Amino acid sequence: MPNKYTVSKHTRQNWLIDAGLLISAVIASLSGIYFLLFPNAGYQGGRNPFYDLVILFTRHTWGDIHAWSGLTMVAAAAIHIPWHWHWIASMAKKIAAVISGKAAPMNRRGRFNLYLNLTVGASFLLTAISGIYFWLVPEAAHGSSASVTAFLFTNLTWDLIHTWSGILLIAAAVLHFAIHWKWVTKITRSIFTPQNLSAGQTKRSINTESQAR
Amino acid sequence: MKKFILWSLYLAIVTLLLAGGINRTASRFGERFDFLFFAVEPTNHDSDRIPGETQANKQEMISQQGSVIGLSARTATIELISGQIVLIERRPWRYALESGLDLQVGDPVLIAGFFEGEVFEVTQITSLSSGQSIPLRDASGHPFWSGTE
Repeated sequence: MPNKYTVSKHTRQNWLIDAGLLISAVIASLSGIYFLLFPNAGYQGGRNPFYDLVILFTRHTWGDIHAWSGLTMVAAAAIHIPWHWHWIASMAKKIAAVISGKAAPMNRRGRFNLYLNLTVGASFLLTAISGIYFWLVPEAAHGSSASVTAFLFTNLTWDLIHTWSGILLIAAAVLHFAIHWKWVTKITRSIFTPQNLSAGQTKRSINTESQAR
Repeated sequence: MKKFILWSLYLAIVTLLLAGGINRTASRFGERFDFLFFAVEPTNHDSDRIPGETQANKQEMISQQGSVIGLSARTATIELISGQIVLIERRPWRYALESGLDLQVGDPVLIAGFFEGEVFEVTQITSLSSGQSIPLRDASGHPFWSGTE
């Protein structure tokens, strides 16, 4: 009878964190795109053709969805980043070694992955911080208070930071996900359809193969 | 072929994001300059407007009677006797409330203002039942709430 095998506990936990991050990111992105396409609320004296427009949900509900999914994303990322701290730390050491001439430069693929992850990290940080600002100062999201400064910048500036860092985050995160697509599909398949261990294959070799991505 | 399709899809997503970002940014700057009165209106192609020159003194001030048909913390909905619906919302309405305006649904009101294109901009609202009168803009059309929270 063939041995059935899924994935290690560590890999499964990693997958769960990533799944939570992905789901919340997709919801936050889609709801964010709603506010890109329909930025204005209010009647505006008849100038707003999208006043009272309902696309699946009301505007207020879209706002709640965006806020809560964004918060979930921050929580998931707060686990995702420390989970991959080993990679982050080793990359930092590698960069330091390359700059000081103690190591050969990374290949093109490695450099691209590094820059991409830096972009994802930086844009996520800006989006999260500006998003938390709007969470704590809800009235700041309304256009009528654009010139008000509650903390450091005007509400308009916070809005622009959140908008453009969010756009950059989505663009970079899609590529980030695409790079790790093979790992995603392989582990998802392993979790939901346990594999048969073939002759000579061990659990260790499957985990190593999975984590190599 | 698969790579081509995937990259095309990615570029389409990025284009949508950029278009949305530009749309939202333009809208925000339009609202930002609203209170300065030489509004940057994305849909207004009034080439006669000169920056800094207010429209109010070029427009005829008119007064119309109406009644309050809707009230909330953010918006007052007034139906003029002409049948037109006028909304006083967000900062102008907040300013009116902070100035002590007390209205109930059904109250008769007198609205003074001017037309900016097809939009009626309210300069003063008077409750005909209580006699209370709140100016929202000065004679040149400059809003009193500008520069205040």
